[in-house]
Amino acid sequence: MTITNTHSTTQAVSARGLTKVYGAGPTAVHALAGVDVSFETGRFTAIMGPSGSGKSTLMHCLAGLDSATSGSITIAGQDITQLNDNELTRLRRDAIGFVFQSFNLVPTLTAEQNILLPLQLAGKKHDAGWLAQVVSTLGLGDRLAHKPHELSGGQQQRVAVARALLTRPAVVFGDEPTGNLDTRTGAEVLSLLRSSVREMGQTIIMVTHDPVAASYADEVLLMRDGELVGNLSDPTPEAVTAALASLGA
Amino acid sequence: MLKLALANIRTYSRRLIAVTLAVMIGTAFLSATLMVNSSATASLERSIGEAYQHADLVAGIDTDQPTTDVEVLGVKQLEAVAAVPGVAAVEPQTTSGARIATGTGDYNAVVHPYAADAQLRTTTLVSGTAPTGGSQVTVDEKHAEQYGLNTGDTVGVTGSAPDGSALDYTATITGITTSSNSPFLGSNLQVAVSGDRYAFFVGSAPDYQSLMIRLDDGADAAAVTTAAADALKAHGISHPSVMTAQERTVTELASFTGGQDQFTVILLVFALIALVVTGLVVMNTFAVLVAQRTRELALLRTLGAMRAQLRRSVLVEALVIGVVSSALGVLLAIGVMAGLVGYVSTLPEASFAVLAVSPISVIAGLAVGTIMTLIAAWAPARRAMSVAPLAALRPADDASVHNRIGKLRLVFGVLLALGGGALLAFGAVSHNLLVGFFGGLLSFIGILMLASLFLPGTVRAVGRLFSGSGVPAKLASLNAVRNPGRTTATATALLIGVTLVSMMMVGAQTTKQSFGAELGRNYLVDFTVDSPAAFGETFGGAPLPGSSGEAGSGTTAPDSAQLGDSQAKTASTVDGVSAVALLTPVAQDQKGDVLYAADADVLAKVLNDPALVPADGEVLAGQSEEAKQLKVHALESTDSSTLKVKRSQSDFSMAIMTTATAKQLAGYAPGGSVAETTTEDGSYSMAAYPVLWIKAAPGLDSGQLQDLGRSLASELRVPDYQVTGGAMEKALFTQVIDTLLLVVSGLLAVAVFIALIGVANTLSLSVLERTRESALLRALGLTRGQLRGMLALEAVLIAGVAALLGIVLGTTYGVLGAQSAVGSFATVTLSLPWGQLLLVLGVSVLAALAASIVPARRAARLSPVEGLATE
Ligand SMILES: Nc1ncnc2c1ncn2[C@@H]1O[C@H](COP(=O)(O)OP(=O)(O)O)[C@@H](O)[C@H]1O
Ligand SMILES: [Mg+2]
Repeated sequence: MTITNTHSTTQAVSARGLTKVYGAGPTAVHALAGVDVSFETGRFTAIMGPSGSGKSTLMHCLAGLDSATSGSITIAGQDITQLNDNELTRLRRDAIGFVFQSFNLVPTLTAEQNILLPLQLAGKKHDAGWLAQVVSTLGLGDRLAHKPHELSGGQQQRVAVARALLTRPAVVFGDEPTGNLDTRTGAEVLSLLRSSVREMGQTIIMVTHDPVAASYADEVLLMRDGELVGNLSDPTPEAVTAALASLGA
Repeated sequence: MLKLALANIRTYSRRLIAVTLAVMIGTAFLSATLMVNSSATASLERSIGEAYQHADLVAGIDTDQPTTDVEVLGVKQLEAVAAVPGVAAVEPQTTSGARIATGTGDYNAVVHPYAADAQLRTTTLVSGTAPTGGSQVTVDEKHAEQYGLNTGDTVGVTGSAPDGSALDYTATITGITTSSNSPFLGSNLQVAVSGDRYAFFVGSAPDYQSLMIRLDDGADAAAVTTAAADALKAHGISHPSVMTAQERTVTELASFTGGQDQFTVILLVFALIALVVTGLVVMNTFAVLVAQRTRELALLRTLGAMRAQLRRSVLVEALVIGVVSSALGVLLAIGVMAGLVGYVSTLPEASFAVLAVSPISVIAGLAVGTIMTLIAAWAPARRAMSVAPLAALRPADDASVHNRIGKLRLVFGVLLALGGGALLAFGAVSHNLLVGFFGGLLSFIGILMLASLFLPGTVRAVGRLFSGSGVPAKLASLNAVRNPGRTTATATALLIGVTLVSMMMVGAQTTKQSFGAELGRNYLVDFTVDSPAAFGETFGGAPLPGSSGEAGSGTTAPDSAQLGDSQAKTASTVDGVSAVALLTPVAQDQKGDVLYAADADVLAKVLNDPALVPADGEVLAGQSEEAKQLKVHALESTDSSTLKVKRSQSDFSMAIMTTATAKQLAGYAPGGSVAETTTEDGSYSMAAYPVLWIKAAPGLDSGQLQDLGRSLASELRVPDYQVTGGAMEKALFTQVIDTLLLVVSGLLAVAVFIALIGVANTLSLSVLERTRESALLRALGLTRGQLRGMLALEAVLIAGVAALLGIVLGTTYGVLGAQSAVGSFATVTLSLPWGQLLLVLGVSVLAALAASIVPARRAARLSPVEGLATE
């Protein structure tokens, strides 16, 4: 089934006929069984579904971290399934931001160095004003010189968010970005993500299994057995929980 | 815990490949060294055994017993033994030397009598007939083939009898014999002559090495042994030794193997160095394995494992690895030695070589390999024991591993480094090699103990130089010192090898230079060629007519024995010769020493230092000449003249003047000769003949100089030994040093190789540890190439810094060591082999690059998704 958002016409990310098969023969797992989806610029989308439904696989394929078995993916107007590894790497560096569940930061680098890492890898100068704005928005001003192990889990995730936002990417992907945080810290991080969408026009796609986290998004996509099976606009935790229950999760 | 240990080995088997390889090579080195010793002994035993193999008993003199008179085993004794009842035959074990001239060459030969008794022959006929009469010989088959000799050929035989009379005759080859491996016959052409002819070689009173006895069938060996000993005693041998061939072989073997044991000890030192380096690699591997397993160990502790159990589990793992790797090492040693012995036995002079795997070489290999692995794993095992159960619950924090250097180690390290350094300096100043050696050893141990103080810091500092060139370089330099302890151990392993190799290189170079300068001081010219007459010969090697030794008194040697202008001209046409001077005797001083003269312009060309050319009225004398003026008389004149003395630095060069000066001498006439005389004041003077001084073209290496010496000898038709001089000595010396350096570097290369395995090992273990981090970096935009480059730079940083520090350290040791070793007899000139040192650095860096290939490829192959999934 195809789910298209109707609020805007520019698409940050879209996929057509996306499949991903692990293994071959009788033991093959169809982690993605033909997904058509598009994400519009400046929207915050959450992907939900039972464990093993293919959420992470979808995100990895969309972000160019993993190759799809078939289908096409377009990011910022570019078909990424045709790119080689170096081109994909460059795309990730320039057009995509990441916030992972854990182990987001390079332990040998300070918070600031971590934030600047993608830009430095690209050999680009950073916009000092923008850095200051992102850092102050995320409340990291006094933590920039710290190494990751000197930061709390929430601070580490905020550094990861700052890094993801600094390149002004076409899209930020989050894989359970608050999965390792307590409720309050998690809420902080989610608010930051949402305000970046509201105030900076950032596009964010987030995988989560937490209905509360999903309620921060503009829209929730529901997955089951490698397929998109429904969506909820302006979700509330209760609506999400109900929708998940109806999926049999 | 055995189960856990085995499970760990199975699970982490890939991580153990490198450590297994390292232990294997280290152990193989040790085992092979011991096998060299046992094989050499076995080969020698076989060779000696061949001399006596057909004898039932061997009679001789027990040389361990003191005697008052010189006792000789001669014909009388032989006959006495032959007369003993039960003795069927007696043959002497005896050899003499000779030169054999074939149509194409002149060869050294060992001559022995062709035994009458068929059983007791050392060499037996392969074809032809036995030598009889005075002019028949047989030659051994291997050399016959090598020199192209056949039955029916005639050869010139020259030698000398003990009474001094010369032997020189022509003989016909009547047969070809087997080639004996007996050490008495050596590796030269083996010539058998008839017993009658042999008597000419040994004279009327031969001195046999031993008597080989064949017994009558059914004779009582014990009775004959006693009777033969008694017979010898009765004929002036106070301590006869009569024993079986087997016993004799064992006895002689003991007297042969002394030098070989020394050689083994030297090899063992190198094996030890390789094992120390191996130990560092093992220690590092286990430290990393334990660190990576902290959580697992903590979990086990939480589940109730005792501290001691965890330590035991690590040690059992080390034990298993130690036993397996050292067993493989011993097998490797056997394989390598079998190949080596197999090759050596194809050489004509060593066909008796056999491989002997002594029990000690197997046991020592297994034991030392295993124990070394256990010792190296001890500290990491203790660390495993100290893992707190809580560590299982804490998130892994690998960014900050602080290595505190133990106070005790610090104190000892500083003491050893400073004390040893002082001793080394003292050894260098006082030219005492032993003191210098121990000082160097102690200070090096001290420096290695302190390595964790300066190695990571240096790596960090050097890394900073690269940090500017992009994120991968910056990450590489951070990663290189992420775990200072690991970096220290990895770099130390390489540091040891590189320090020793560069020490040898610098020491060799400095010694060569110092000796070169010393030789340059002593030898005024490159080559000196004496007239054949000085050796009682003519050109081409024939003896001077009418003389048996030195040229006869009062006679002037004919032109066929003296160097002259035509030889000077010949010499100047030889390739590689730049100038030739003919020096002729012109005068004698009051001591009877002969003074020579040549034209000033020619002297200026041949002298290494043209400033030494004596001025008019001057004589150039050696540095031992104390007088300011020398009173001389021209040859064949009694008028004396006085010359001013100019001294060279040479200790033994003859005194020379220019032809112009010679012409001004009172009573001088060209062509004067010096006969062997005793002057009025009792001093003796030898006959003197012209000499050629030759300068070689600049830039010839030692091999070319040696070739030049040989071609001069053959062009001038004089024996090789008449061509001498600084260039030859320097060439020979350089060759010896270079060969030694090559051998030592080859032996040390094993240690360097193991250390480089260590670099690869550390890197691949670190890469495994950083899988998630690599995946994260890849996700954030680090390309595969950048990732590979990052790891390569990390390896290069560690290896490069270790090599650099090793070179600096080795250079210091090399210079001070050379000062201690040769300072007492040569002025040490500092000279660094920049090319070789750069080569060491280059090889280390390239090898580190190579070592990073496999781990880097593995890291780069991993997709970001897989990496992120790893827990
Ligand atoms: N590397 C892999 N090899 C084989 N099967 C995989 C692999 N990764 C994921 N899968 C399978 O693909 C399906 C989707 O997985 P995933 O996308 O991780 O689900 P989710 O993130 O929704 O829990 C699951 O059935 C999982 O077992
Ligand atoms: Mg998932």
